[in-house]
Amino acid sequence: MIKIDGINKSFGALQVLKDFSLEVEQGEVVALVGPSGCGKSTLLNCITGLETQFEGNIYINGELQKQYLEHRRVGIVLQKYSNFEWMTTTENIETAFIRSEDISNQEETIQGLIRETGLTGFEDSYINELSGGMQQRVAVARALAQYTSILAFDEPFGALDVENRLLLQKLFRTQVKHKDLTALFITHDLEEAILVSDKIAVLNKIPSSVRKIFRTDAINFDNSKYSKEFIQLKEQIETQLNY
Amino acid sequence: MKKANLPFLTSLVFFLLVWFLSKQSGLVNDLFLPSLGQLMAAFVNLFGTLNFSEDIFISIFRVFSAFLLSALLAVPIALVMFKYKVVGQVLSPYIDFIRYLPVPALIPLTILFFGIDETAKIVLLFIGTFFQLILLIIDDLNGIPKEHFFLTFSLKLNGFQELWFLFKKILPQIYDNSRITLGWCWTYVIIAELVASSSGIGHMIKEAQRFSNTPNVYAGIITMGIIGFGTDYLFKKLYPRIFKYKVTVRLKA
Repeated sequence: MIKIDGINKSFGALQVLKDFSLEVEQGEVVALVGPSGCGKSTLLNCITGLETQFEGNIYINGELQKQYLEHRRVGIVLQKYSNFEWMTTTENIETAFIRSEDISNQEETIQGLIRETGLTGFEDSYINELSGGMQQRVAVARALAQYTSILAFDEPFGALDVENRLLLQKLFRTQVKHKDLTALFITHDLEEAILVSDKIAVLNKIPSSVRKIFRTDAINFDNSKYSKEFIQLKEQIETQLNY
Repeated sequence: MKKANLPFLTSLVFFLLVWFLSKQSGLVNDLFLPSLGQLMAAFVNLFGTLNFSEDIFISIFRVFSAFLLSALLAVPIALVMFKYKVVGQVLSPYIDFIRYLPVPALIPLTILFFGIDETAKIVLLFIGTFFQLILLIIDDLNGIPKEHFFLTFSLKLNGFQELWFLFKKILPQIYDNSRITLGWCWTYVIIAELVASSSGIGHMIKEAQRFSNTPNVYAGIITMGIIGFGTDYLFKKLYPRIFKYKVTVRLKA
């Protein structure tokens, strides 16, 4: 689980996060939505350890974030440049084990993830040989292979076509639930946010904090996004975003 | 079969025709421009009796020795300067100072310290390229998208692994920069051979100039051009073999 406990973050005179608090339970996906530039990525950077200068505390699985990061990492997937171009599909996923002490089931894990992400047949392909959707699947597979229970996805499927987007959304959701991971998911697409998450945290403009939290776990890929509940929820979130 | 570069071949024929006609018409004095026949005779004489191939070999040896030495040292130093900011802060002012010094100005000092043998020339070429190469590599490193650092951070790489991943990331750019640096090496080797040498292409050109042997001067210049052209061609041809991942075709699906 992740517990963000009243953090403040500024860049010079510009305060981006103000007394920001949020909890993400084990096995839960929380989508962060909010206006552009409201500090969503900054928040993710604070959690993953990429940003170290902030006030307040973040706890990961009960440990202070700094202590947690001493022995583990957060699996990250970004919108672009999420892979190493000089490596093949398999080599990219293998990097998840680069600092891992336990590599006993490495081969099995990699083969399993290649199968689950639909990359069979492309194990030896270089990243530039893969389509955009496949490249993101490799990135997701590596994040899932990492020795971590925490995932941070920053608009990972933003540049993909509708078909690949839906495929990866389902894959992400299934894997998080199957492996009982804890995940934060940034997106500008409300429909995506509703489909992949259990909760949506709507953020204010900067200095940002959580404006409102919506539970979304009643809606999934099986009950259509054209259902009454889905449309109502989307309207409620939009109202909060336009507030 | 690959199509020939027709525009280039046409321009070459045109260029040679202008050369030929200018000589035939008697417009240009032999002292300034030899005829194509004189040029061919100069090549025959240089390779046949004046051991020009040895001069070529020694110039190539000097260029590649200095180039390899500067590349072998510049790459790790640039990586460390980039990764460890304090190292960069210490070394950058020295590099900025030295890189503005014209290489010919350093010839007296290199002779003083290293004499007139091979070491002096290689050191001179090294100074001329090493500091520039460091800056080119640091520029490439500065151009790496921030996402790469997020990714390597998330993998919890150690210091050496981070440097290795940085190296792999900019290797194609280092390769391209090496082509530029090699060109500079050729400029400096001729300067070094013109001033203090008893062998090499530059030395041959200097000797030809002393005796107003214009065809040999032209032959030396054309030889350097051909070597440079050939090296560049080789670099371009090897690129897709070395960096297969850069030239692969992406799937549409």
